Amino acid sequence: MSEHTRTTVFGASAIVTLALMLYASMSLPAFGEFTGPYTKAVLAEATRLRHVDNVPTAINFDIRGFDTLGEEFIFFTSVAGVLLLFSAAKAAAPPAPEPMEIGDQRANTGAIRWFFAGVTALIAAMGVSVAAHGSLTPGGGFQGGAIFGSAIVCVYLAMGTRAMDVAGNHTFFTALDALGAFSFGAIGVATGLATGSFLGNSLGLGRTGSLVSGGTIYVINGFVFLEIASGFIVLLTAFIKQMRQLQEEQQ
Amino acid sequence: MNVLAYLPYAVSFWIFAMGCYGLVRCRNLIAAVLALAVAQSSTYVLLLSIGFHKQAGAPIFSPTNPVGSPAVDPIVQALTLTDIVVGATVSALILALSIQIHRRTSCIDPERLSPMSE
Amino acid sequence: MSTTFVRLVPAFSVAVPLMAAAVLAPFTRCCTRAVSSVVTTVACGLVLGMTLFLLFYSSAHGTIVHWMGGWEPSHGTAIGISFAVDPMGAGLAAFVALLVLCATVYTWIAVDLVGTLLHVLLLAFLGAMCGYALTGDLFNMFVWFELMTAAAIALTSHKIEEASSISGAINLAVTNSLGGFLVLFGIALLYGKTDALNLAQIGEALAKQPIDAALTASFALIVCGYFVKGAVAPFHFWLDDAHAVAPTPVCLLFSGIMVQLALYGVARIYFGAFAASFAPHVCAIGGLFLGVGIATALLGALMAYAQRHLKRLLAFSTVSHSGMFVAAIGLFQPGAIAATALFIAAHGLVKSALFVCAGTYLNRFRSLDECVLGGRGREAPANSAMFLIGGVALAACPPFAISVAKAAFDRAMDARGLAAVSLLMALVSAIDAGAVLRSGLHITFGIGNAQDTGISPREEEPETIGDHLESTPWTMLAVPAALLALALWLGVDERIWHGIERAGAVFVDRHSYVGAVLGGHSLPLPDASGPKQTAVSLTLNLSATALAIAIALAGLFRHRIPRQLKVASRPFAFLRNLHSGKFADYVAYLMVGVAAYGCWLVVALPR
Repeated sequence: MSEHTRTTVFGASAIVTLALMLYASMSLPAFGEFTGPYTKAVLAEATRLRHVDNVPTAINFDIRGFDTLGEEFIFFTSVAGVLLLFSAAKAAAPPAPEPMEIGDQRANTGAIRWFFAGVTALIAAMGVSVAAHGSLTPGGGFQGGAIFGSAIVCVYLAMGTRAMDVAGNHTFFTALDALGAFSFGAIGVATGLATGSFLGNSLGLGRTGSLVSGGTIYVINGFVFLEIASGFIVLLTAFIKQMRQLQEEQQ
Repeated sequence: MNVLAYLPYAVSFWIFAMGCYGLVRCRNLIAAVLALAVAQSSTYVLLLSIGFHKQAGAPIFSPTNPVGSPAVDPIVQALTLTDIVVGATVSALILALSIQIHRRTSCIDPERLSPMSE
Repeated sequence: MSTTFVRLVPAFSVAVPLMAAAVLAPFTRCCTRAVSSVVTTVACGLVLGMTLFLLFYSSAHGTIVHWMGGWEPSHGTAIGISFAVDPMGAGLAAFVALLVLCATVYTWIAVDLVGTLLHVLLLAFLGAMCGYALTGDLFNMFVWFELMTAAAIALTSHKIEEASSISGAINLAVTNSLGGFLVLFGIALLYGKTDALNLAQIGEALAKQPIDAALTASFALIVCGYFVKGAVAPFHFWLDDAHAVAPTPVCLLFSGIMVQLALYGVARIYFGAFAASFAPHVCAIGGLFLGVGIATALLGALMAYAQRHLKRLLAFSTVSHSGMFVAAIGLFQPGAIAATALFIAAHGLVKSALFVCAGTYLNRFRSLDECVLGGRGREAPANSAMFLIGGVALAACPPFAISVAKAAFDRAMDARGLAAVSLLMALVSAIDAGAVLRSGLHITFGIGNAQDTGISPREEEPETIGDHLESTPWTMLAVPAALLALALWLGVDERIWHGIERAGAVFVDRHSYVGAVLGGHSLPLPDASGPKQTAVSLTLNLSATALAIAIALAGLFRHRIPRQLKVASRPFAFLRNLHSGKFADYVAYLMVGVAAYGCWLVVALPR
């Protein structure tokens, strides 16, 4: 179809669909009026039964933990897919001996490098903190892992490719990624054999309000943090390397 | 009938339509990935607006906000949270595909990519 | 065998392949292909064993229910995620495991694996499909659906030598992601109405509410979203692009079971959640499914006939069969559901065998083009023989299982007074089986003129190490042979059909499903003993096969047909132009489809 025809066809059907969906949403409860038995049950029981203040964390890693297992493996599969695409394309390209840094290397004086090293440490620490306090405050393994993973970009920007390769060692972090994914499944299997229900919470629950609370929630939270952080580090380093290869090919 | 009561739902449908419009009109694969991300974010808007409860706080309890105080729906929040991270990685997959196309053909215009059908 | 352990088996059958994938992934560079093949095959074998066990146990003792994390329902409200395994779900999961095992066996010898990531992705795909088939929770189904999409994108882009290959993967990624978003919209709307994510719970909540526009819209969105993956018109355009570029084991899985699982999902959601409130309006919904099914079946068959690329031809044949499945599901009767289940299994076996044969042609002769391969089939006699047998089986030739499924399908249609539809479907399947036979005959014997579309043939990269294979490895012969033998056995053994009939009766029974999931009491299967095949259906199937062969020969010798009898080529050209290969077009068609489905349902159902 020509672009014009396509846009017209799309536009007409999108208007019809929008109208239908607007009409349908009139039958929903009004914004702010939502309530129901599932919500009430979860809000009432989650903290009492699992000693966790952050109810979404309890839902993610315990009540609906099986969903999170699947989501974690979606993440894992996408990272594997990206690595597959890039490794197949690498072929015989040898690593460039003296890669040109973004920005003149000589201009990165010691002071700027130390400053960015500090910023990287800050980002990493924040990531770990957000993940560690998953039971208490908004946060958890997913969010903390994403923050931690982004620190590798800071390393690259401040100190260049070689520092990024050292800090974000590919083999180490792919292994850690796989370990995180595997452990979630293993915890499920182990708790299944121990308690008779897959992902049943069978560890000591701790005191509500303390850092380590929630039993298996905390353990799974930790493994998810490991997996997401390493996954993002692997992804970002792979993309940055691809970008450099493209730049070198264009020169 | 209070229009504002249904505005958030309308906004999410509109965002979805815009994301799809971006996919239909884009001339650049990177723009296509971004349009897909926009379409995905519309699902988050809908989920979170459905779970909202007036005059209720976050479903995170503490000594100052004890269990039993009104809170919004935590379930949709949990669903959205994991979906965001996952959406980022699927975008990464499609971006990786776009990079591979660029390497082969130096072209990322979906209109001009070599025709597939026979 | 303690029931506690039995209830863990469904969760294990999803967790084991996922954990195996995680174990294999870090060793991609240092692992030999032998080690990774062994790990993958063992994992597939384990899952097959577990799902077969689930099938037999649930047939004997009723639906197996397991609440993850021990979160049993409190006061009738489901809190955790439940796995509700009835014989239909377990049977599908076992079939999934079987096909992934076949795909793995295919990769044992000579197939070029980029590191071992193909096996990692296959295992993740297996885990996702098992989870999808076994779960009883709406959002959990969506999560496994998303994992299937992510794995499918990565698997399709396995051969990335050419830009057009990557285009196929991008088309799949964009359309299937949009399908996922539509499903999520539907889930959100349904959640807004019922505050429940468990299928049985939603069913109970909807039974007490009148139908309104939000429920209709959520049903429409969920159906559209799953129909994207189910390759139903107008959401099917991504399928042939993906098949054209994906490696053979991946094509096998896509056409063999992935597409059909999405249709199973729609049926499961209807019978578990919507049946109570939509039951008075089942004719309206059935009308939509029937209309869409017929259109898809026709479209798929015609496009299949117009192809000369083997994998695209088979892909369009899958689209055509998807249409038949949707039409059958639209009857919403236990007999029709049972017929669809057998049809899915039989079609999956035969189509997978055909894909493997096509893959062997690719690896031996570096081409998938019917014209280029003309006559070369004699150099691979066993393979060509199996390709022809597969084509005949696809044409519903007795005693292969597709003929039994067709007979049941016809009975279900006739019971509702839709005999004309079943005749039309027989014609449609004759056309697409005829296309397969046409290419098979031309490739094997070199007779006649193959499809001439005026496009120059291109060489394809084989999937094996090295330039091309001199002889066919035993794995590439054993897999289609085993699949075709299974298709024969399914058609011959009476007990299979009776078991499927009973499973169908359980599948549509919402009360026993809710009782098992929320109430904890499972009932064993009811008895059923319908006829397997009557003399009338035998005759019909034999004539359908003869018609398919006639169509194949007509295609080969069309220069000898008088001009007046030739079918006009204009409709073909128009259909071809629709399948442009650009995802922007596909998104536009998707929106048209959503608008059309939505209009029909909102108008036909009460507001």
